[in-house]
Amino acid sequence: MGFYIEDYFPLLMFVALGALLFTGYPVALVLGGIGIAFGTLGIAFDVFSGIEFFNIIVRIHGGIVENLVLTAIPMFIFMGTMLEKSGVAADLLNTLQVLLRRIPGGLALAVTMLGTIMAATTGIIGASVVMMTLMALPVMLERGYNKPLATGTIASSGTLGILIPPSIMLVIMGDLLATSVGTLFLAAIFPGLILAGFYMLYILAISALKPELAPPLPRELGPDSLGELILLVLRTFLPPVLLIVLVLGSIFGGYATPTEAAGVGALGATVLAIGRKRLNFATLKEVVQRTALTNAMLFFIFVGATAFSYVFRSLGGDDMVVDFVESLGVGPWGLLFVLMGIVFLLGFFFDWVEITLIVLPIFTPIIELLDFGTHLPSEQIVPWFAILVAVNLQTSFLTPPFGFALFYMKGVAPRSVRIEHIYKGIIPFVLLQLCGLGLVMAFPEIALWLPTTLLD
Amino acid sequence: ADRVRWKMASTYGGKLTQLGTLGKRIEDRIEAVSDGNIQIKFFEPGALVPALEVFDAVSSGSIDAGWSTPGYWAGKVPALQLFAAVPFGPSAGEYMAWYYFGGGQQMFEEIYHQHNIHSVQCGLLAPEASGWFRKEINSVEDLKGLKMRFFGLGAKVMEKMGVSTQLLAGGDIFPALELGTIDATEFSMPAIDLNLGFYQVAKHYYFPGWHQQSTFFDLMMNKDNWDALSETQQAQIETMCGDNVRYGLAEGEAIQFSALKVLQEEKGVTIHRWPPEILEQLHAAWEEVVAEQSQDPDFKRVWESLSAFRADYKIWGDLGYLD
Amino acid sequence: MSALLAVSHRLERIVSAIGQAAAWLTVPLMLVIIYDVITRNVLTWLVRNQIIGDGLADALTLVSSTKLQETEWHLHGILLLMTFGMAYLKDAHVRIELVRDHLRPRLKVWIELIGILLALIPYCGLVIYFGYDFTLRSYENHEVSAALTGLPYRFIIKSFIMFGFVVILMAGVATLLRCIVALFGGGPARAEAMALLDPEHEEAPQGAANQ
Ligand code: NA
Ligand code: NA
Repeated sequence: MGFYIEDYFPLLMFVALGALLFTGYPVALVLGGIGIAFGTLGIAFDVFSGIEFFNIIVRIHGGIVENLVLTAIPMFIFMGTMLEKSGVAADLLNTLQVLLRRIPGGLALAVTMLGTIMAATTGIIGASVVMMTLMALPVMLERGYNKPLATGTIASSGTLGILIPPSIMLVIMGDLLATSVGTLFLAAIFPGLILAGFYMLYILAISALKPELAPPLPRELGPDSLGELILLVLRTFLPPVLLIVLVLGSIFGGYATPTEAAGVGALGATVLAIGRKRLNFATLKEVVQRTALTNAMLFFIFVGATAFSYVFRSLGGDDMVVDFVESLGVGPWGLLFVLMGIVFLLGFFFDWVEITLIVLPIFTPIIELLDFGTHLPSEQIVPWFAILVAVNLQTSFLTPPFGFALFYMKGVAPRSVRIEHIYKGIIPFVLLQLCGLGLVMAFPEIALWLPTTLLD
Repeated sequence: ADRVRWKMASTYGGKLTQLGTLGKRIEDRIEAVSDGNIQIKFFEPGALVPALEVFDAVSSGSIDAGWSTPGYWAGKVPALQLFAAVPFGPSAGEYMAWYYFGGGQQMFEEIYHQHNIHSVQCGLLAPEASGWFRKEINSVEDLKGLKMRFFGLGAKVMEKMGVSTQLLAGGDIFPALELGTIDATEFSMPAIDLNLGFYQVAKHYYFPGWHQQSTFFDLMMNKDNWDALSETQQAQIETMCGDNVRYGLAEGEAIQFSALKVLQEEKGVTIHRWPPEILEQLHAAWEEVVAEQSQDPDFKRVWESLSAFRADYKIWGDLGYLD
Repeated sequence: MSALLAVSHRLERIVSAIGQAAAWLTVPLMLVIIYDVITRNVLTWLVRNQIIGDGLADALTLVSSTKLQETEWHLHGILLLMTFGMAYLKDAHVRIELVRDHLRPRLKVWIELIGILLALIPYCGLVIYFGYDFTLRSYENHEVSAALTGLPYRFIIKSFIMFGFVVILMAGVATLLRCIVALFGGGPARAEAMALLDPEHEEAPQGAANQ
């Protein structure tokens, strides 16, 4: 067997990405540039052809522009930006902090809850992370929260949406596995809630142990009497909470799709801002321009990533992964661990769509036939595996250097928040994720109990 | 001849019964009949290109081949829809008769060639179900204002009945139906629909599938690639596809009844047949749609060929079969 | 050298004007979505509860839902493609500054220059070249929506991929010219280019202000 350098191009693409991301050139263009460079190398080695670059355009159109679900993103960003620029969001979170003043890390807990609620409704990571960063991060920093804790809280609770149904990821998985999306939705609920619970316990514990990381509200701030408190709640808390309930409730209740609800939310936020006399033409213009910039930031990454992953796959990246796994020759549990490890590692570099496209179609037929003995009934292996991959992939949004949630957050966070704060902040949450993953592996009932009880 | 190593982009997920598995079968069978000389690798929708972009990609040669149904390209080449499934159209035997012996194939190839694609019909499906409804439908009045997922020519017909149709991708249907964002959906056949779990959120299942009495699936190839093949290789592909048509139809007929039993007996689904008066009104709406679509000259030409053939076929069909 | 800067400024003005105009598409996008919600959900509800009749509902539903939803992604497509360039000039695109923060200003400019030459220009060139082909195919096929009930003239939205990348290319060239002046120019032009490329460099201690 000879050594052919072109067989290793997919691997070299990772190496190049890992190295060049740190030049500080825009991530989207580093991705696109590497894609083109390796495509060109592929042409020189006769494993790629020039016309194949056409597929990049086709992917930009079909996967990004012509995607109605993604249209919800600018609307959620608009809603978040409007609530932030009009000061409605800050008032809301301040009041929340007043209400939760006796609990350590109250503000962070409130943010986690908001993230969980948003998760149960949108499932669009970019939208929820950006919206929560816009609304909550400035307030948390102003209150003296430790930057890593604040960013870790927002990023992790903002990504829960990919797991807690309705979730686009589970829909795509259902498609790839030709299995009921309903079963996957139900199976994801407890794992998602357990993760949310883990986040909250961690925040409570760390805030109780190190109050300087999450300073409680100073006594002199906040209302003096119960009457003032009620007034505060009525004025600053109820209107935006009603808006959020209206928007999220309409999705949950089936009255609107995420895109529709996001549009209504954007209008609702505008109405609130007008109601609070915080909207003039200059503010509107600022909101519109900032929304467009944030949206461009987010989608430009999609546009760059699609070139990278296309060339990776075309050069045989999928086969490389499969060959590696098959060459190991391990038993059922060994194989499961290896696959989880691979998904986790791929998560450092790829978007979840690309990972599910590599991993699920190829490995599910293999996993399906494995014998896990009495651990779980064989017909439940597929949904269990899908949920394990889903939890793992949610983690992939959070793992540096290439966690999409981290990028989105960096794109809208105040300048004073550096990427190293974000990287540092996410570590404990990633560890919690891995605990959650281990739990679902050890106790498949966590995922499977709900669908088996409710559906059959 | 030179070895063939092609990438084939699918418009259906490889695990999807028949719609996808028949495409996956190509991978395996072509390697077997060509003794490894031809390899056609199946790629999931979106892995290389999004499903709706397969046509342009095959046409330009940016991918070698595609697995799809000709009906997918309604927006680009309306006439191709008539080579996929025809509302109130022929069942499998008659459809094949027209396609292979009634001039269908020549027009099919000619139309695809205009776009630098050579395509071979490579799968055939038994009738589809008419759809899943959250509420029972007793009259055309009940259809009015309904929000329904519907694809292709049938969607045009439904719009004429006052249904507001939407085009949702496979996986998006379930949550939309569950949430009530749509009231009904057509998707496929009982064996496929059972796996996708639509019974969990809609309990009324309607037959017959007037919009798709039989459905062709095709292997699209970039024409330059096709022309570069040796005659043996071309024959291997055509023969393999002929076998895939046989396989798809037989499998489709074989797997529905057990799925229907499960749906009825275990999943609490109520199975309905459309009353004749609703079918008549749908048929009338379909005639209107044909008139509109016939503005496209190719569509008109194919429709006339098919209609003429069917009129003649009736002479035999009425005599030869029991009912 | 200051002539290069003048060209760069002109390019920036064009890119920003396009981006700022496209940004306003968020408002019609919002309105189209609201209109769709009203006609599809509210009207259906009113008709089902016999509060208004079919005739009135049909009269109020001027455009079908499929058309509205396709209008939504058309608007969004134009919005995002036409704002990429502006985002590049305003440095809104995500960068990993872990190492970058500790680099000398001149080295950062070199990286930007190389990035534009090796990544931005080839990527834009490729997308514009094949994007033209993509548009032309759609135009020649008289392509319409695959959902036969949707919008016609697909080539229009498809052409925006090409236009969007022309705008990014203009933004890239504007920055490239500044890099050249900052690296090879002299005197006030060089200082001006440097300030444009690295505004943070001269800034007072970082506040919590947005970028
Ligand atoms: Na979700
Ligand atoms: Na990651």
